[in-house]
Amino acid sequence: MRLKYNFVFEQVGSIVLGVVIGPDEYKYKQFLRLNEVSYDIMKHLKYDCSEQELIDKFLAEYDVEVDVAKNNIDEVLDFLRKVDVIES
Amino acid sequence: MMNEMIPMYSSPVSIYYSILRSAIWNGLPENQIKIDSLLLQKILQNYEEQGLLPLVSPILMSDQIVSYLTQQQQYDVLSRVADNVQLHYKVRDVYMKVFSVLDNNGLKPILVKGEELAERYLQPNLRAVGDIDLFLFPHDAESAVEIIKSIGGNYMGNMGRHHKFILDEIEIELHHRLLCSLKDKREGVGLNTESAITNSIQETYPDIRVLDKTKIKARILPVYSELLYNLAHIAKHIQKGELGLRQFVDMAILVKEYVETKDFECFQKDVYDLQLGRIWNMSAWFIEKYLGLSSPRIHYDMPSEKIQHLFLRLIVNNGNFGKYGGRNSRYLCFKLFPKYSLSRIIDKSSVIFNYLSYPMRYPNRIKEKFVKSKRD
Repeated sequence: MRLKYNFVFEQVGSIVLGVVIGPDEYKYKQFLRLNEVSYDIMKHLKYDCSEQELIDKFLAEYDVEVDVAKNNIDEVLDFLRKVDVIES
Repeated sequence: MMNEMIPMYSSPVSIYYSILRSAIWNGLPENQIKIDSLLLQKILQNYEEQGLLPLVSPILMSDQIVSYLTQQQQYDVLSRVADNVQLHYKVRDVYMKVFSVLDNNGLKPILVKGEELAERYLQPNLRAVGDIDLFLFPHDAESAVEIIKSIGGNYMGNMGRHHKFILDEIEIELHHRLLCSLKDKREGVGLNTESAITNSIQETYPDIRVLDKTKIKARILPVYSELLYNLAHIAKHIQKGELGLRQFVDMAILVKEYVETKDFECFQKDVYDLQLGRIWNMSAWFIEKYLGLSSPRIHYDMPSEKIQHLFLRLIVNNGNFGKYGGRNSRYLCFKLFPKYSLSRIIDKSSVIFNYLSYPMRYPNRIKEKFVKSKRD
C-alpha cells in the first residue's frame, strides 16, 4: 500500500501538518493534522510498503512490543483509509 | 476558555511580542501563558493582518497555548499554514521553471526578497509568501521579458522598477531596480545601475548554489547586501507609510546572521555614509526591545521619544497613520533623514550594486565612485 497523493509535512508546534502539493492538491483539498506516530507511518507510505514492513520499521524506531506496534499501525491505517489517502 | 492573566505577561503587548520572539528564535515562552479569549482573538487577527500567522503558528499550536484556542481557531491557524505551505511549493516550482529558462538563455537572475528571505528562516515554509522577486540588470531584463512570455507568462506591464508577469497563477516581479523612491520621478534619479553595469558585474555576480533548506538552485545576495537592501527597503516603506512588523522580523533574521560574521565595521560605515544611520539605530532599538536581539548601534544621535513613538505607531498599525497619516509620515521622514531627501538616500543605495561589482568591500572606493558619478 502507499499514499495516493504527494504529501509534504510541516511541524507546527506539537503537531505535524500533512499537506498535498503539486497537481494532486486539486484532487485532495484537505490537510491532515497528525501526531508523531501517524507522521512516521505516513513518511514510510510515500513508497510502496506492506503492513509487515511497516511493523518492522516501527519496531526499529520505537522501543515497544509487537502487539503495541501492530495496534498503533492499525489505528493509523484505519484513519488514513477513512480520510481516503492510501491505496493498496 | 480561561480568563486569567499571569503576572509575567501582564499586558497584551508583551504577550504579543513574546509569542513573536518565540516564533522567530524557536523557543517557547518561558512561563505558561494564560490568556483570555478576547486577547487571543486580537492576537490572531493582528498576526493575520501582519502576515505573521504562519510564522507564529508553532507557538500558537504548542502545548502551552493550543488548549486556549477553540477548535475553530485551531482549524483557522492550521488552514492558513497549509495554504502557505502549498503556496511555497507552487512558487518554487514556477521559480525553477523561470530560472531554468533564463539560465539556459545565458541570463543570470538573482533571487531576492520573499523566497530568498524564507530560506534564512528556521522553517522556510512558515514565512508568508506571495510572489517571486527576481533581479536582473536592465539590459538583461528586457530579454528576460520576451523569454518569460515565450513560456506562457502573462505580461502585465512595466511597473516602473519591475516587469510584472503571471505564470501558472503565480505573480513574478522581474526587478530591474531594487530600490525606487515613490516621490522621486525625476529622470535618472533612483538606482544608479549604469555605473554598476560598467564594472565587471558578470565576474562578481553571486554563483548559483543549491539552497540548504528549500533545495532550489539560486543566486542570492550575500547577507551584507541583503541587510543593506532590507534597511533601504524599510526607509522606502517609511516614506510610503506602509511599514509592518514583518519587515523587522526579516531584518532581525538578517542582523543575527550578519552579526555572527563579526564584521560589522564596514557595514556601519556604509550605513553611515548612506545616511541610514538613524533608521538603523531606530530599527536596532526596536528589534532589541521587542524581538529580543541586541545589535550594535551606529555612532549617530538617537531620535527623540516623539519620533520613537511615531515609529512604533507606524509599525503596530501596519503603516497606517490614520487621519494625520501624510503629515506624520512626512514629519518622521524629515526627522529620520535630516540631511538628505529620501530620494538622494535611495540614489546612494546603489552601493548594493557596487558591492556586487567588487570582490572586496571597499567603502572609500565606492564613495569616490559616487562623487565621480555625481560630477559626471
